[in-house]
Amino acid sequence: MLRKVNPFRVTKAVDLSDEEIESLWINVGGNDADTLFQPKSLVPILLMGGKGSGKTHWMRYYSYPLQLLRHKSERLAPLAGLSRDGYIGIYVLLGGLNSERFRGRGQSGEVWRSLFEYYFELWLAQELLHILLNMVQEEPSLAAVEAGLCDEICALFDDPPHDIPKNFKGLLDWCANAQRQLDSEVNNVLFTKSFSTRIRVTRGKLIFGIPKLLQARVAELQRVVFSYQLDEFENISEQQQKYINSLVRERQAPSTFRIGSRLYGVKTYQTYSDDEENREGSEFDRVVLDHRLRQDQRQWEEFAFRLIQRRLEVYGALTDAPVSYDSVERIFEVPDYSWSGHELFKTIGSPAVGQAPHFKKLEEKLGHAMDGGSAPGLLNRNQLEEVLRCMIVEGRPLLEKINILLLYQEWARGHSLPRAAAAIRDKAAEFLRDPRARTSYATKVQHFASDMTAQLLREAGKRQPLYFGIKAFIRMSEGLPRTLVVTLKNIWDWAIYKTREEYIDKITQDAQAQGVIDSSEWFMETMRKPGHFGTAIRTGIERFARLFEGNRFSDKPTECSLLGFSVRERDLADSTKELILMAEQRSFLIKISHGEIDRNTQERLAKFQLNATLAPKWNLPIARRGIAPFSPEDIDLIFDPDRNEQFERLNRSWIERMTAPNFGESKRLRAARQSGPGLFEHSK
Amino acid sequence: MISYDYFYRDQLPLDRPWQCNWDLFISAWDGSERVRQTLQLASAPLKITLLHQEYGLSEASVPTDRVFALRGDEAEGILELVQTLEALGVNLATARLGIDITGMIRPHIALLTKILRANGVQQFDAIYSEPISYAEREHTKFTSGDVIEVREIIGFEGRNTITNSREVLILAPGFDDALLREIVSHKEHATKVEIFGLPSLQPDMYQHNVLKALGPDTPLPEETSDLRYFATACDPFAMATELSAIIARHKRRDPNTRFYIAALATKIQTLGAALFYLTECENSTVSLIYPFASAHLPGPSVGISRAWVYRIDFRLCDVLSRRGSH
Repeated sequence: MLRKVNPFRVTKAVDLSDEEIESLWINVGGNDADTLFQPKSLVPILLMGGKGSGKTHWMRYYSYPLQLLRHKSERLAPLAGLSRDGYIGIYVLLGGLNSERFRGRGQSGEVWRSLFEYYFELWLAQELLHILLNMVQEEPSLAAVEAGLCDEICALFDDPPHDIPKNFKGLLDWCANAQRQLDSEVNNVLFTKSFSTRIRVTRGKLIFGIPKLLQARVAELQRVVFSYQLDEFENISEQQQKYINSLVRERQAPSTFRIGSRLYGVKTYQTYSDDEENREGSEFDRVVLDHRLRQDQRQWEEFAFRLIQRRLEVYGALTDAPVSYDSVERIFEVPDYSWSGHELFKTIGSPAVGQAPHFKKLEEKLGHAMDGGSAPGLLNRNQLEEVLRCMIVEGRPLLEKINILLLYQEWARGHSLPRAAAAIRDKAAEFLRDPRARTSYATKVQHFASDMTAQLLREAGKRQPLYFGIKAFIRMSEGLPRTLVVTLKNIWDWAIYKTREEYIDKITQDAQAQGVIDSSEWFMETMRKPGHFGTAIRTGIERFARLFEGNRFSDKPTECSLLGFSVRERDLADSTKELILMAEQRSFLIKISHGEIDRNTQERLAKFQLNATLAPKWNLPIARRGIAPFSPEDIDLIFDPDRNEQFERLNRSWIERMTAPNFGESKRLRAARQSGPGLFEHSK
Repeated sequence: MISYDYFYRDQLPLDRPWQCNWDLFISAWDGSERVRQTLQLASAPLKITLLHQEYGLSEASVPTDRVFALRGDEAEGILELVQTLEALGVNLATARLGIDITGMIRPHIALLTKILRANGVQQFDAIYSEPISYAEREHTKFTSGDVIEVREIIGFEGRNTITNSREVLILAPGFDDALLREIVSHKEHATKVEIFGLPSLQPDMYQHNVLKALGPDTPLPEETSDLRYFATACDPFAMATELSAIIARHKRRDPNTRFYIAALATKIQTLGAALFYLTECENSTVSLIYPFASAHLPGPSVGISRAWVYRIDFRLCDVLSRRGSH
């Protein structure tokens, strides 16, 4: 049973306290977090990931306040702890710089660049001095060299402070004051028209110089790497990134960098060092967190489960201890919607034999088509009723839907419906006799169960999505821990809201359904891009979702569990390529690594899948099976918000291709409709 | 904490011309009925109507002769305006100014206030006319383009504090939840504090406001539920007082707290936020931030219900500032 607390209430690492960061930390598979982050390596790492992929959690976990927490729990003094760790993490939020202020206002780019460089130098120096100030109170050996260190640090300035501070506090205050003056000048440059600030230190002098001095003066720090962990790289301008790239390129031991950025956050790899570009594998290594988690489904499932388990444990959410996989699975009410279960039948209202809404719909279609001469082989009402009878599998609505799907497929081929219906009835009977036999019918059941279940529920007027249980939620979150946490937060919120009793026995289907729909909306809003391209990306994603929804709920879906598309990327318009890249960087689209070969051109096609978190919004599947090929022209159209009418035409023709009786009006069928129902029967 | 209740404010009649003795009346054209009526009711020897490019309106649509098209960012636009006024022989330090902020875009309201003060203006009258309603009620959008960036308003930047410092984002949410979402996302590390306009301009507007900010598709996290404050929507001085109280309270807890104020509700509240900043926050850790959109929708309001005059008296600001610092 569950207590009425929401263990997923805090969804962002930034909202977690240092203690929570520590207690909620989950190692990736094989406990190889250090291998991934390599805190002791001098090689800079660009840590990339979609929004909510865990970058901040990683960077904070390896930062000094968390190191200190761990040292305290192990009764280690700060310097001894750092010496043991072999690194010190200096975590810096670049968003706090409000770097947009360093431009415009009648000042040249050169002026702003110099000021930003100076500002950044003062900023990082303060971050490091702040750590030293905390440390010196507990470390007599550091206190003993404090004054000398301050002298040497001041000597790093081209124009040192007049009254050289004798302690870290004084030095920190001096730097803070210099930064304050700069802030004030920036604020008032509109009126003053120019800056009076003297730039008193050359770039990198403090950033690389202070760690060198510390290493020379403090024995425990001799083998310690000083890692500047710069988070939110996306929040600074291209010119400012270029400056940080230059620092990365010109880094001096024992300093290095870990740079956290969203997938779209890196605006340039250029540097000011002769305009050279930093290259992966040469100047830095790159880790893409969510890609890495997605690459190995099993590892992601394991990681995600442990994340859930840890939250449940830390917040005491389960009344039973310990929290096992089974106990987590049991929290959720998961209906058995398999073909052999009875819940689906009950959910659609236990209809009388042959009276379910899917029969009504089929009867109507066949009737109209027969009257219009477009139902091959169907000549009279008796035959129609016989066809309907052939579709019946009592108490097994999912198999009835599979039968109807097979009938539509035969219909689209122009085959005689009475004859096809009889054959389908026999195949269904054979399947029921031995469901494990490797028959084409069994494959259809396996492939189309999800789509046909969704259709059954919609036809019965149930607006309920099909996403239940922990496995589904882990699958849907596509390697993004925050998406998983938000989904579970929403589900828990609904469960608490809907339960009157003191404890929650099980989280109902209803609470799960509401939770995933909320998450879908949240994802769409949270990940969307501001600026000019945001609308185009949103339009493209929504249009794909509509096309896939049209396929899922059509008479004859061309693809089962359709959630992806393939295209010859080379032939796309440049603007579309850019939009697709942005959609991928915002995690709306996920590129599938193994693209298929185009049958005609033998070229490798790019394959993309919609993020499954969005699935509930359009009732789409979460486990992708189908990929629909699209022409580059169609993809260009889908991503162009100004071509709405053309898209609606494309959508209509897409649906028509899957809709009885005319299934997109192929030439042969048109001929069949005009020449009477017997033509295809004879030509078969 | 400072109380801004000493400032003068009054309601203006809608049935006869205003007798305010202004030498210069500045308005900003947004295509709405209330701005048109304000222009008719206000009398001054020199009337200038600003035209924000974000509205996409033509100069020909402006109902006055003298139009000034604002170009570039808020600083470029307002500085050019001041130069133009000087070229027209206006002595800002001595002229009696009436400024209708109804159609003005928020960063320009804030910066114009600051620049007037810097140019020796001792006081000016800010005018705001309230609508009867908004055409689409709580679904009314005020911006049509995408948000290009969220940044500090020029001239209202605060002093940055290093990473470990606490950040507080004070939001006055408006109907446009897209703007709110951008702000919240941009400062996602900050503790969020909300100020709702209550009493609102019209009784139903408070409900609409809450629906958009805290509805089922809420951009604001639930955790802010115990951090909500209220300030009269039609009183800039109430907003300034509330901001002063909130910031004083947070500073008592941690003097190094970094504050961001996003006044997205009424333009009166933006004016209040600017006044608060200019009185108490120069060179401090407080910033005014705003989500800059590529386009604003002209005239989404219906009619005019009331008109207000607020006297922005910088001498009084100085007195209050001195008193506050003691």
